[in-house]
Amino acid sequence: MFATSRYISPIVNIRRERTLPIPGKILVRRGQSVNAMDPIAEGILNPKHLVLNIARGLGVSVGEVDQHLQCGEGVQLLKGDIIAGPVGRSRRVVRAPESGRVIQIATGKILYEIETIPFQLKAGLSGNVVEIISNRGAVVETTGALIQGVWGNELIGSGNLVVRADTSDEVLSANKLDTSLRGTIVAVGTCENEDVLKTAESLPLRGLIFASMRPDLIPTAVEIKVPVILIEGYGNCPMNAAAFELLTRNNGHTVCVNAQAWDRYKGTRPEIVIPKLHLEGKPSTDVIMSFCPDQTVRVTRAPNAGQIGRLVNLIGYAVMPSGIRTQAAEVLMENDLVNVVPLANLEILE
Amino acid sequence: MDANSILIVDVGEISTRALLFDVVEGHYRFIASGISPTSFGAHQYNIQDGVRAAIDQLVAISGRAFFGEDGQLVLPCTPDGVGIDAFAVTLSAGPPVEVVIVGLIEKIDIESARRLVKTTYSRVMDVMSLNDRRAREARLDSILRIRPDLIVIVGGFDDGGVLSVQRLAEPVGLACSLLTNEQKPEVLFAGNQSIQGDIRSLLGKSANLHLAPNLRPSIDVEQLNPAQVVVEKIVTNIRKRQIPGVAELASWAGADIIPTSEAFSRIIRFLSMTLESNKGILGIDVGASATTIAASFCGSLVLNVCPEFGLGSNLDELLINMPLSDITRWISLDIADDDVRNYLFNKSLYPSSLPVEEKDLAIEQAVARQVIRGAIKKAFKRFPDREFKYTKHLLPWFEPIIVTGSILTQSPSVDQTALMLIDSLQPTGATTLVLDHNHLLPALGAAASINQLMVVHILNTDAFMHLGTVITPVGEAPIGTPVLRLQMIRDDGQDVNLEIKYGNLEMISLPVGQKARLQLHPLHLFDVGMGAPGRGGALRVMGGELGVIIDARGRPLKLPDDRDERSELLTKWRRVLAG
Repeated sequence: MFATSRYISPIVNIRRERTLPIPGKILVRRGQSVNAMDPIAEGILNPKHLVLNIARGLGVSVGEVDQHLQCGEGVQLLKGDIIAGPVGRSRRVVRAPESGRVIQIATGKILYEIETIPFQLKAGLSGNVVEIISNRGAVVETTGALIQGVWGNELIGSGNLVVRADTSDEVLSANKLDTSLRGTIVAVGTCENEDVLKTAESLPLRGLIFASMRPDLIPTAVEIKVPVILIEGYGNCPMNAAAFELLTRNNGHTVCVNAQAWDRYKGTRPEIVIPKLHLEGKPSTDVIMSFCPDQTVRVTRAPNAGQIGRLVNLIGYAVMPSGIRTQAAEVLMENDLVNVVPLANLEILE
Repeated sequence: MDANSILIVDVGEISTRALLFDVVEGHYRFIASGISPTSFGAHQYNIQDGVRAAIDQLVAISGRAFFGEDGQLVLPCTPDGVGIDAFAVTLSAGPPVEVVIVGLIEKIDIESARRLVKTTYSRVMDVMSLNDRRAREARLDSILRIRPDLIVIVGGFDDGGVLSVQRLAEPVGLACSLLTNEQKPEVLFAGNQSIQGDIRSLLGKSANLHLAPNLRPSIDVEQLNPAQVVVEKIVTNIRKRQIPGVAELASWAGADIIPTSEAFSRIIRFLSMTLESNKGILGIDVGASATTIAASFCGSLVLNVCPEFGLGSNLDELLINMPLSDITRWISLDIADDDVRNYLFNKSLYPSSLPVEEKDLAIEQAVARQVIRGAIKKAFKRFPDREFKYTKHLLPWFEPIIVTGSILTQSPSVDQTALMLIDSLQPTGATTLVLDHNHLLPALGAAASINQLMVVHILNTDAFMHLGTVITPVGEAPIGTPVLRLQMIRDDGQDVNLEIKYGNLEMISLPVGQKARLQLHPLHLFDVGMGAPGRGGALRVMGGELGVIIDARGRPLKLPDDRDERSELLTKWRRVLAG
């Protein structure tokens, strides 16, 4: 049976394709070293257009417009530049209402794109550009620790990691966030209070890594300008031992947080990368995995949600306490007990 | 020539199934199925891997071989039994198709366009109408920002004006000319037929234009079906671009892949035309990507696909459509609201995960009740006004009601499945509940175009589970008032007499394979769907897993506000059906 899998790995080669959803301009070159926050490409995500009626503006017929035009398609103009004219004794002209670009000229009208600040696609992780994807982006490669999460607020950040918890289930309160943490990325158990998110933004922090968070805090987490990643899910699930240990071990190191959405169709997940460029990592696998004994697995849902264990045996079909009959495995849990867990509730840790 | 052996693959958001049908002793039979997780979520996210794995499991179960030495599907079957005579694919995996609707009037053509796109897995992102106060440029920018998969342009009666529709279509043409080839949306024009030529001139070069007959040729006529066929093809094209492996799978099939909802609706319409029922036929598919309602009344189909009521990754959006209390009211166990909310959001992260504890199962089944209820309510508006129903607020008379979906088929017991259905659908009159526990219906819908005889044969086998007959007297009376006298005479001569009181749920055993005659005598002008309130009559019923269920709990079903009282009642009802 195919298994879902995720990385919680101390050292691995990470290769990520970073592309704009629209064609744009590439800002890096092959072989260049980039930081997570460096822009690698830019493009206009939310264009603003105007249709300028040149014939009406000049007081001429549609057929006469062409002879009065001062620019062609694709021409970049500054605010106030003359687009067409002058015409007649009053020397009527049509000027560019804003800085922008002439897109199309037809039937006496101009489709004009107003200059807007382009969206800059950030590298998302620190590493080397190994491939340029024409008009779209680049492939960035690095070596380091990798922790994949389940939810992110679509922001990217980079900074020094501060693990602000002694245990994996510790709840973060706003009063634990002080100015000494400014510019850092804070990792902790759970978030149960909106004040935590708002304080993080006011300091500001460069990132928040939670095991879990109350779902009603999602709107605030999306609103703030600080990257937020959830490792486990919603509610008050403690952080799995592997992720907590990895973060604790790297306390003080520079980390990159790419809180992109988990998109099954695109194959993207929110990720925390701790670059260790001087080390050599095993290549990340790129194959569909199936369950087999001795794999390290994580339980995705209650009971024991978030716990890590070792798959001991595939036992075929079993009946769960709920009465559901399903394919299951025996898993040796962290507490040394063997539990029967549906395969559907397991993911392989790589 | 009709194919003998048919392999149908159904690719869902969570599971991929391979179903084999073949001739056994002169009759078509469902032979076996293989199942695998759908593989788009894995590293390679190519759905072909899941399809191969499902077929491999089918090979292991059936002992048949479908692939040749070159690894390709062998079509048709060779004399030594390798391969298959026909192959088809149904597909529901994929994010909702993002749609922009451009039309004239909200209550007329735009409403029809909304109904059209509801026949597939879609989400309307923007609507541009005559009342839209945005400037033309703002509408253009909206299309460029959304970058929809599909733009549906409607409006204008076939003998009506033309200018308004053309004007509304202009931003679409501009947007398409500005988008790159890979971003260009599919554009469907299903408006005033007299301007098809103008629309072709305006959009033909810049857009992937499709034409369909006018959805509203006149104010009082709506024709969705021809455009629905076009939309089905468009959606398949979109999936080929969107999901790695779909295009290759289409080349295996040698024909277009059919959206699962479309295949499902085909079989419901087919049943409506072949079964001699003066009631409607209702089909419900509760899936991870959407809940699909297909209802057919004398061959006329109502198809509503509701991605907002899917049990998969979109579950985190369920609370946008309903308050949490709508879900928690169905839970008899003491579970905190926060736990239910957390459950919904966590399940959206791991949609294929299963409830291990009784508490989680209770939440899951409560959610199932509400998604079915939500989806059926959305379809209500499109059900016929008269002749098929008691009042316009209640479910019309249906016979039978056929259901599928893992939440129903994987339930630990059939009584839980039946209670989920009765609670959520709240049927009226007399109906039969049929469970498609093998998930055959979409496959049969796909096979219908290959071999209709096979479909007829399979529908008459025991491949479906007959849950039971549900009798629901409808009317108003104080709790405890007798509302129905019922006599059941089994073919073996045994008889049962019951007086049903308002507010009660009862069950009479009638095992599978047995038949009986039901004599119904409604009291106090209660209606059991036999032509008029108070009118009784006889029914021939077949045995089922739960026999005959009499649901006199009232319509619409009202649950007590008091939590303890409600919990006690829910437990009592569950015990009645658990026997």
